[in-house]
Amino acid sequence: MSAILDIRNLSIELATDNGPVRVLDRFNLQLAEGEIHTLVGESGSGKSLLAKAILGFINPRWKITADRLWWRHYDLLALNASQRRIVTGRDMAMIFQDPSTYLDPNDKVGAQLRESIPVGDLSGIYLKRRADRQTRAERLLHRVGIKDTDDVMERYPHELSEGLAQKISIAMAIAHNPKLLIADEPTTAMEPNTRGQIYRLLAKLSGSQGMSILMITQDLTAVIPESQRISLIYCGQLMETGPTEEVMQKPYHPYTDAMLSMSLFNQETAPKTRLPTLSGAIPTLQHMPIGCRLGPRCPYARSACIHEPGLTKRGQVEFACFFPLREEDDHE
Amino acid sequence: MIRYSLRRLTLLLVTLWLLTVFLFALNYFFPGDALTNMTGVRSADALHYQRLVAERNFDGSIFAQYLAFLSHFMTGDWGQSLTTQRDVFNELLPLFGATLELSLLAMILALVIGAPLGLYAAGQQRGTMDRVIMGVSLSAYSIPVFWLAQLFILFFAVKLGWTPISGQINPLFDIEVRSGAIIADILLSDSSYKSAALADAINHLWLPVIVLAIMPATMLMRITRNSMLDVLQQNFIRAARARGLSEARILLRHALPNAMQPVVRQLGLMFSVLMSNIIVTEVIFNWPGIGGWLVKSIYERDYPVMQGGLFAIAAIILLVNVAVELFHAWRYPQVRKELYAEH
Amino acid sequence: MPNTNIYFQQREPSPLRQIWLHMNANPFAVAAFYFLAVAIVMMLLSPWITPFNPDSQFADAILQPPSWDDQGEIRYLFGTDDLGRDILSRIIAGSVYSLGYPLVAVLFAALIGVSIGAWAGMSRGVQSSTLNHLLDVILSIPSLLLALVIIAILGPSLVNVMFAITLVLIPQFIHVVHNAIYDERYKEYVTASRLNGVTRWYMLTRVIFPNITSVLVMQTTFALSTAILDIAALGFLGLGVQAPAPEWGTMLARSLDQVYLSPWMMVLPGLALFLTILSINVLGDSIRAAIAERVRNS
Repeated sequence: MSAILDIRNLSIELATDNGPVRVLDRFNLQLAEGEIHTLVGESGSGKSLLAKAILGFINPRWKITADRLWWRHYDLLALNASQRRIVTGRDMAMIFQDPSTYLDPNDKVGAQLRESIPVGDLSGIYLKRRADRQTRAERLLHRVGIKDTDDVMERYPHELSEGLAQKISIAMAIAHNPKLLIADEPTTAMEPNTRGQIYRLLAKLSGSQGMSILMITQDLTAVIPESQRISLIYCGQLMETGPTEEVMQKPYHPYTDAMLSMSLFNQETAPKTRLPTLSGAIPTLQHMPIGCRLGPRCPYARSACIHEPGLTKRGQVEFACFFPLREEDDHE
Repeated sequence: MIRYSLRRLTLLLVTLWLLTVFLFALNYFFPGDALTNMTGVRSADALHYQRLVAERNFDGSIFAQYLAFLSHFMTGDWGQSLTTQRDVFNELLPLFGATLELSLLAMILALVIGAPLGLYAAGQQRGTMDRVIMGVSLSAYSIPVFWLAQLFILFFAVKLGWTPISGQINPLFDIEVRSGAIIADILLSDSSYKSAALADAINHLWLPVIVLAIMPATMLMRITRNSMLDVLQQNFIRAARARGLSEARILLRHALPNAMQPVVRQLGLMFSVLMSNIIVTEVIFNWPGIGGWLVKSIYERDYPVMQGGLFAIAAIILLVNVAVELFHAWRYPQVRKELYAEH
Repeated sequence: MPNTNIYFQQREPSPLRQIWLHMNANPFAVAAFYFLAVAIVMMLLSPWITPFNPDSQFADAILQPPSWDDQGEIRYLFGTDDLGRDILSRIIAGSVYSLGYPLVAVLFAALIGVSIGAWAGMSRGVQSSTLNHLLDVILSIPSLLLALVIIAILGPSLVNVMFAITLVLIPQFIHVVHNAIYDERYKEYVTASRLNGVTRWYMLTRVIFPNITSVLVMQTTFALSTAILDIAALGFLGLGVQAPAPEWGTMLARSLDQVYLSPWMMVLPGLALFLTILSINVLGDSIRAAIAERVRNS
């Protein structure tokens, strides 16, 4: 498996008034071409930051360090801002959590959509290019399931519902057929039936055009069947990563296990029993536990957990825990 | 947009109407006889006064008096000056032109200086030039306009002798007053010394224009810089960058229009500040405009003139403010939503 | 006694304290703060610390240049004016008119304006929207013009100027407080207290008010610089504080006739005015920056 996106030991530190806070701690991720990879983590676990770091939304208050942050054959950290923008602009796209803030409030939707269609895809004289742009924009809107294209293109962003704005930002994201699409909770603002529609569209793009998709989501119920691999992240640390099936069926890591038992699907809970949860609450950014950050909440924690566990590899699965739930694969 | 415009224009009309009610009431607040305050005719002039009592319904109720006042006011009968006995409305028009000329030139100068410097400072964020520009603008903003005018006169007119101390034009150029705006008047006149007169007028003009432009210019600089920095932080700019658009396109097409939005919104306020400064500046430079005229009328307790000057200045400020609001709502449609949205 | 504070506890500073911390980081703001503090102390002590009586005329020292000039005398540090009055004494004594009176005017205007604004902000419906529209209009007319109208009715005198300036500042306070409360009252934390069933008075004073203090502080500095400018401008036009009183604007107006002979008569009172307004504006600006910073971080 050759990874087109290769991240090794990526850390992000935020400079706050009380000194630096490490929101992403030595994170690892490999993504193959045409693969759908789901990243699961609670809010504040640093998953959106990871996405922004890949795309190069550099904020001067962030300090990004990594052993490797490679996209195909580009070392993203070694590129300067404008080179990086050319690479990310050509190859990557992102669908954001709060889509309406990512649209220019003073520009019509149609104009912004047309703008995101790359010039190189068009040919001919000016008028033909313009007409082409228009038809391509309409086709994009059709693909994300907007039928009344003329009306929507004449609107300003403040006249859109969140769901509609999300569809438009998806249309803008796939306008230039990116190689990597990062979808940050793309369907939170949508009704369930459109949600399915969007997932099918994304799966189709990945299958037919070899688009890699990094899907970011809050809980395991939202992991779609097309997703080949899955990573769980807690407080900026990678907990477990591996093929979706294997991780979901037979987790090594206590956190994965807890997440699975917390989710409401495929579960036979007797009526009026308490839902299983991890004790305690997510620590604040300033008060991260040392060692394994799950430590204080982990039911299996021992004194060794104040040291940070490295990644252990078992077959296809990697996890960061000294005391995995099961031992060497018991090929039953 | 039509609904919004109608609402604004109705509000403007209501405000102007309230202003006339206020002016009418002032006649009773001012010391002395209300009718004299209103028309500038003293009761000593018995014949004229008696005729006016009938004309202005001063025998009738206060309501009838107001209606008579309003109808006279609407037809341009603003009374006559208590000191010069001249018709207020006719005297006001050229003064209005002179004030308008001064304020427009100052506003344009402020825009030309302020906005680009603000953008430049935003580009140099936290750099030396940013700090210098912001420091200078805050200092210049704090200089009282009358002191600034005095310093400029002391330096440019007295020490260097580059420009006359006061006035609009050398009276030797016999320019017929039509609009009051000196440059327009010179261009309209059939004087044989047009270019010489123009040079003299500009020589008189530049110092007060600069004095007046400094305050709005500093306000513009700060607003432009801050809003530009604000916009550059916005998600849609970062998203546009990530999409690989060129920096020039992002700045021109997305950042600048959005950054100018607060600037446009504040233009009305800047004009108000300018008009407040123009009152003092006209007195210092002896400029034949509304402001100086108003202050003089307060010294002389010339109530009809005072009302005329007051109404003219208040009305132009209100008009400009409404015009700015309409333009703002037209150019930036999402503002209209905020205005309609009730909690 | 053992230290009970074993655990590191992060305290979030109060809004006002955050502003104070932010300001402390800016040397200009600190300088402005100390300048204002000194100026206010000087104003309070002015009857005792002026070197001479500000009104006494020294016939032997008319139009004396400041002491750093070749012809100056150390006796009259800032020189004397055309009637032989000591300029330093007049500037110190003038601070009562040019700084003290504006302070009082702002205090009254704040008390009245904040009460009305709070009432308007807490009441809903037609009355507050009408009030808002009306204030929008009144505020677009410059304060100096309104003050001029009031002076025209009442005639120029110190008391009338104070009355006019206070009256003119009130709408600004109403507007700011009204808008600030209006912005806060539909936020979730206020709704939560409403659901808790707190009284309106408690809601206003304990829930909303602590969150709008910073806006209020900023408005106060803004009103103060407006009041100082307007009082000085009225004095300059001869419509405010009357001539023998050493008000800075009035002194500037007098100096206009002497500007050829003694420019320092114009420069020094103007400088006092300028520095006072500048330091207030620097303070206001750094408070604004601090508020913006706080909003950005939250």
